[in-house]
Amino acid sequence: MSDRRSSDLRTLLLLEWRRERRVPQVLPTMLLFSIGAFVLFRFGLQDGRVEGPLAAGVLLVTTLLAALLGIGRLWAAEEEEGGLDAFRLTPASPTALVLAKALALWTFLLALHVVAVPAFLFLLAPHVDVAALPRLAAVLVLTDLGIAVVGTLVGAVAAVARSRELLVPLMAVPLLIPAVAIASEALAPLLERDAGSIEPRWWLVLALYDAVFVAVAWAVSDGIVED
Amino acid sequence: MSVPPTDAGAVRAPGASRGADPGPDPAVALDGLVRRRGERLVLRDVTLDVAAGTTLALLGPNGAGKSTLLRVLAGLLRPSRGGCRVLGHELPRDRRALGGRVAYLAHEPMLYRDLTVRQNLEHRARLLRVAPARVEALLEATGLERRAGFPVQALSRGLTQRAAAAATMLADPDLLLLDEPLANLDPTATARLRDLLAPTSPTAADPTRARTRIVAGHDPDAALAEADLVLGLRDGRVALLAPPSAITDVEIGELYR
Amino acid sequence: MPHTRRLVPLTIATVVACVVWIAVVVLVAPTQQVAGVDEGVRSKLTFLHPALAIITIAAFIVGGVFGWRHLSHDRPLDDLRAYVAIHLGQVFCVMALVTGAIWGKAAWGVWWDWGEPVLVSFLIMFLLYATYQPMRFAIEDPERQARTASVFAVTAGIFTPVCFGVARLTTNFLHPQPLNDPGGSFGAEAGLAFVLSIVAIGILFITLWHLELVAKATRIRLRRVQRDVEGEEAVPLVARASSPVTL
Repeated sequence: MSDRRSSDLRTLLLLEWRRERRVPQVLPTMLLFSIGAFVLFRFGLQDGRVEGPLAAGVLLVTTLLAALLGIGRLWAAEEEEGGLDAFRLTPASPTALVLAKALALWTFLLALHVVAVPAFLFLLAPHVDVAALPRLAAVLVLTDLGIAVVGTLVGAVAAVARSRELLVPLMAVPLLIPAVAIASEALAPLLERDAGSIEPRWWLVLALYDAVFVAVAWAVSDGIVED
Repeated sequence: MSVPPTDAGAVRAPGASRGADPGPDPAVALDGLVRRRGERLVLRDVTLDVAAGTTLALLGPNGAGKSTLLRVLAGLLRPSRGGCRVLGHELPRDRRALGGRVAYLAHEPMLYRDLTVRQNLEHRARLLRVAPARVEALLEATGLERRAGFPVQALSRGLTQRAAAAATMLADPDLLLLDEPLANLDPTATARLRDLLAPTSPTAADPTRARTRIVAGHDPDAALAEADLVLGLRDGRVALLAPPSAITDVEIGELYR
Repeated sequence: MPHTRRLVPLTIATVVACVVWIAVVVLVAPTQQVAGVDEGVRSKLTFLHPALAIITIAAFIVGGVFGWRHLSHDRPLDDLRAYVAIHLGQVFCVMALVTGAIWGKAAWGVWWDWGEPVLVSFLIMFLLYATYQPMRFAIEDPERQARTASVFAVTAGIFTPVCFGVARLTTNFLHPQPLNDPGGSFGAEAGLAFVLSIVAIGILFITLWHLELVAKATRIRLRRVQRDVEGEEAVPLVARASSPVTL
């Protein structure tokens, strides 16, 4: 049974990647938006070199806003092109669909960060210590997971509604404030001129936040996929 | 989720589920089915038995509830009241057990527009636990081999409908729900699809067995010609239920009045 | 009709609880002697604001629980229950925000303080739950509306404690005595008044929840009876639902 579910999960995840590869929509949009935002901050902060909490805030808020663009598209095809109806006529598990969506969004966000974080460091924070980068990456991986899972839930709820594009930011932003708050606490010391260390509790809290919403997504997946 | 025993293998054993349900159990049994959309009654008190292997023609003016009835039978909408048994499974409770045995060809093709025809079919086949060879067989049967690499959005209306029909037939379903399958198609496409969606089709695992079909449409003559039983819906009520031989033009006219 | 019989006893209990609570707060509970008028306001609010805050959180969690029940048992009444709990939770949330701001003005001389985790969490939750109705009524099909609203209710209901935990961790504890922990330095009378405030506001919430539930259920059933008696066409459909319509 779980074997079946993991093969469904693989099938569905491959579909998301294949669609993005055939018609790249989400990734280029998120990437261009992020770079644009960094350039904007550079001017908005007047020759802005950012460090510490300010740098963490700029990076995380840009990530969040970029993610909103991806969240809005995530379930669009399922609603508009009947993908969800087709899925419900198969014996595949709803949990697999919801998890595949979350994993797809997670990988898109990670791919975004592979390009956007170097751009951020180059444009806004060239002082950051190379030794801090692995920890920076680890925090972003956990943050992206949280954004991806919450984004999947919000995207699924919004996709049903008429005013999808308006609802996504309204619902996602409050739900993601805690994730951004924790990640900001964790990242701020890394982005100082002399990189500090992360308090261990932030790792724990960030992982807990992710775990809670993974559990929620798992639990409500039937409710999302059913009529 | 519980998986019916017939789906135990990665690929469904041909004919395994068929021998199991002999004559007496009808493919579809509705008893006072009511379906509401909010406060509006879309289906009122529909009672109906469709024996396995028969073709039921579903007639009625726009908004009579034809599509809604098909969606309820597909397990996509829940009955609001009344009994609804499909292939021996009570809906909505056991709708998961139907997975793959009921196929629904809707107005919209239910295909991903960005992906190619083959990618769409392969994806659906994997979710339906159907062998990949089946995809090739259906591409051939629908005459889409040469266009299998085209994205669905590049296809004409007729070709899209053929691709959708191919996807519908992937799992070799026991119950076929067809919503105006031949609307707006040219004669060639019509002929091809009619063969593919016929009660006994050469691509089926057991070509001699007739599958149960429920076909909604607006063409009474075509419906009467191929149906074993005709159901006329009007305002969500059963207005007509009889074999085609017993139906007069007056009754058909009354239905669309 | 669900819960109709409970309305009268609940109303009596609410009146009694509220009278006792107000009497104890006004007559018995000590007004701290440290400062002037402001301290008086602050002391009294200690027996209102935390209770409102606690009941708001409880309302949102109850909304999540009923949302979960609706998803697993598929009974429309559970969706209505979740809807009413969240709707009342929103009202209590606004009251908690306002009383919290007044409390802050009295205690620290500012209307708003980003260092106070309860206030910050309430702002976040207010923002989140403010999208509940716009989301809900943007979905036309009533069943999908109910199911999607339940997904929202469960997600947001679990988010509620998470939000409080995180706000607590990430605000920097400027104030030694957080709002929801007033018992510490107070005497036994204050403790009694505090417990009474939670009981009174809690019963008030339960009564209002029953009242709204009965009112909405009655309206829905009245329309059904009307349709049965006068025929389907005689009763116009509600053009835009202002509450769940499936029951």
